[in-house]
Amino acid sequence: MKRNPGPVYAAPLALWLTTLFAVPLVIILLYSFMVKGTYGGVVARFSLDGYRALFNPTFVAAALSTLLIATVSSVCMVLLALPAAYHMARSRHKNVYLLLVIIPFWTNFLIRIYAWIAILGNNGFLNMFLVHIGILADPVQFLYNRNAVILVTVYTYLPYAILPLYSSIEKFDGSLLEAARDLGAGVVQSTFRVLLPSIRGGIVTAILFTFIPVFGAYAIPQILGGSDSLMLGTVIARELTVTRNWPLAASVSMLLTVVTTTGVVMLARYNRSATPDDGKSAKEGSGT
Amino acid sequence: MMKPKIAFAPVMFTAVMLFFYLPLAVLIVFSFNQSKTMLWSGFSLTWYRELFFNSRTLWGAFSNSCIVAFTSALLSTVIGTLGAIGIIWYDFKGRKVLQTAGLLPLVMPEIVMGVSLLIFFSGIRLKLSLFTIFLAHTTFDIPFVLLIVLTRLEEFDFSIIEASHDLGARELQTLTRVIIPVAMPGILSAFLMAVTLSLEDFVITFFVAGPGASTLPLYVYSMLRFGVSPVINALSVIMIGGTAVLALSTRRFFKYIARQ
Amino acid sequence: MRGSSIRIENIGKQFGTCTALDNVSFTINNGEFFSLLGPSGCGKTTLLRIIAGFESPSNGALFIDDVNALSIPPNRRATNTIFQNYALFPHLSVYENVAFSQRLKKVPKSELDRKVNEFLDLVKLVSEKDRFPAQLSGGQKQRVAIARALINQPKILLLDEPLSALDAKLRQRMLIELDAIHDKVGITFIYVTHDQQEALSVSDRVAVLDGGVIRQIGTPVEIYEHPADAFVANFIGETNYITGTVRQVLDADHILVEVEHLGAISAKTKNDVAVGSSVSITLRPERIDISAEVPRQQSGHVNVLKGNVDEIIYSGFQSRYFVKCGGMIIKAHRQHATNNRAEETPIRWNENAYICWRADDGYIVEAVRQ
Repeated sequence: MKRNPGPVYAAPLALWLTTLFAVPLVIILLYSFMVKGTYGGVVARFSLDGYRALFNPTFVAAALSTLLIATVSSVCMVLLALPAAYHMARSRHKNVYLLLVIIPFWTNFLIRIYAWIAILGNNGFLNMFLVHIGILADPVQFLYNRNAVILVTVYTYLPYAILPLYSSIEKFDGSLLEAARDLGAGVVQSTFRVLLPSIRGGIVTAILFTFIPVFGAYAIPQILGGSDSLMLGTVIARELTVTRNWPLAASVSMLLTVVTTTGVVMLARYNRSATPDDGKSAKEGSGT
Repeated sequence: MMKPKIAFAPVMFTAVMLFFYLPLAVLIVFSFNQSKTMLWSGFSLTWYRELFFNSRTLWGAFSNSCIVAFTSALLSTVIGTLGAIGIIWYDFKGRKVLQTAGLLPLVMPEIVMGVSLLIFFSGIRLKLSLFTIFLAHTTFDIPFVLLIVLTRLEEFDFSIIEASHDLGARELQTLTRVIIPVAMPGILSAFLMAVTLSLEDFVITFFVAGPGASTLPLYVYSMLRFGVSPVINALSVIMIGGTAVLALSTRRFFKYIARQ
Repeated sequence: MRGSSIRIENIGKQFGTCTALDNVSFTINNGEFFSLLGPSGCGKTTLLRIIAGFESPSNGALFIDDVNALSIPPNRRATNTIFQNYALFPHLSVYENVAFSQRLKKVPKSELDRKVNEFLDLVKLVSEKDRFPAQLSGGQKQRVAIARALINQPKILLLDEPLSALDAKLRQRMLIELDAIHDKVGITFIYVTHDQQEALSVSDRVAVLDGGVIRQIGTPVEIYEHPADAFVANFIGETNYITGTVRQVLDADHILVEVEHLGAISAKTKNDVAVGSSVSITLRPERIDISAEVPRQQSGHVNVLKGNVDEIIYSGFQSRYFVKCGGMIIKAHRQHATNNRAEETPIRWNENAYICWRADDGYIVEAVRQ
């Protein structure tokens, strides 16, 4: 081709991404190194205060709580998803089951959260029922704590664990398990020595697909969380709008971005080592 | 099939299914409840009536959602499709960087994107409004469009583009008469994905919305803060039903997309 | 003749460190059916794409009808291409595929209809005009591609291994049809193939390429009978390629060559060759006579060798014999129809046989002076 139309095609994309994605992120990066303005905003002076604040006990507590919630949720989800996905993948009705897993996914995220408020809230179904039949005298606050956050997080993100595991198990050759039994392995042994190692890829994907989004979660802890379930997402929002400490909001955002990106890179690297790379060629010359 | 697994796995699967659907069932059942509390007192459609006739703000939010979804999906599909065409077939400086950058928002936490856009808009003194929501939605839709169209274009036979030039077409003519028609199924699924994501979005929208610029998720959120109300139940039922109807009616449409 | 002429001057093409074309130069005359022949990776498709405009050369010049063509983009060159995989537009019907270029030029409806039908008729596909490429067979797709290209009335038609995806019988038929179309339309055809049978059967001239370099350009007869070097001799048809040292000059036109493991044979030369220099002779197997008995005496320079029949491959109309003479295997082909001498002793495997050929039937390919 005499003229290369590639840049023309790519120009709108490049322009948009630069203005509305790259620039805002760079601004955040810069703000994280600046000084907090008196009424919010920043003062254009270099400072590491934003990052120093990350070592404050309250913040460290929030970071640890985020780590805890993400880890526990992720582990719970994978543990639930494994047998469920196994059953789905080995069943005749796998397409129906897939649909059943995906449908709740289509309902609005907030509505799924609301469903639990309607059940566990102070005026929710559970409380109303227990008071009505006399087990409780007054409503108990089931929500606004760490357990509630974990529960609703698992509820919301579970499909992210089921789908990769389903995909992995579907490709797994079931006759390997029969061979193991034939060689004398018990159920538990064949599961741990044959099945799990073979679907290792799916397990890793499921863990990362759940951990990474939960780590950066905002809505669930904001709506259902309490003082014991501060997460990095809610900290950012609070520093931005309430305390108006923008450099801190920026530094926490940077922290969150770094953790998330690391997780994704790990996943990409893991996948690439598991499967061969098929190179795509750009059309500006090829052989013969 | 593993024998004990037969006992354990289906049980867990059923448990998970119940886990998914019981809360939704509670929601649906109590939307028909006569009283305002979560104690069953009788069947009634009052809350639906309330929803349809008494909630002007709701319908305003809904129409906002639709407007933003449609426009941002349109723009992001155009930008993403053109970008995918440039990336997949032509080599130029920074191509790999652009491809990575284009897919990066997929992995960025929504809160970071929302906050960065908020700070950006305030920095350029752009007042928060429906327009800022539109800009934000286009931005996070683009990587999905890029991904879907790139995947589609990978199976595209480049020699028909050469054939088009060979037969006398200029680049623009090749784009409109050959590339877009043949890639249309991919472009359409990207568009639909963008619409869906836009209608769904809460976190990013929350940060870049101005006063009075409410979308459906934001409206739901504002109601949530007031605790339980059967009107939300009714709204939930409508939304669930609407999604189901939409999904089932477009099933044939998706079959067409998948077949191409 | 209605085609264009093409002049290629010193065209080279590098892809990174790989040289696909190494300064090739030649001319194609108007209306010729010209083939680019060679094994895969020899650069023939690259050259075709440069002529079409899909690649630019790293160096060199290209002239179409004496006008510099390199600055003209492919959509405005007077060339049209038939792609190896046909590249039909999957979303358009046969009719619309053929009409594509005419619609671009905004040809008025009635004339467009007339032209499309004319060319569909040329390739005998009028009845399929509303079908889509996915519903067509390979041969039909081929013909749509031809109609689609020819409706533009290009001066040059470029064909990139158009028959490689078809089965053998269909290939034969399509080749004949292509030849007929060329005769009818009269434009320049440039045909890329790795199949020397195809190239020899329909071309006016053939360029043999290897490793980005042109080995020889000539008519099919020239290429076959008088190959320019060892590569061409071995690539085109089957041959016995014999290298030896000149032992003696026999007369004005003949020399005696000593070949290791074979013996002394006589060969015809066209130039003077010095005794002691090395020569290579290409000897086509069909020129060799084979018999179980000693052949009778003939006049002139005739080579007779005795050997042992190592292998026989029977193909119905002919047999191929592999005869071990001295330490070397000589290939001889014999057609049964014309040479069926019933009273003759049959040639059998692992038995003795005599091969003989006239010195004039061998062709000296390389003579290296020492």
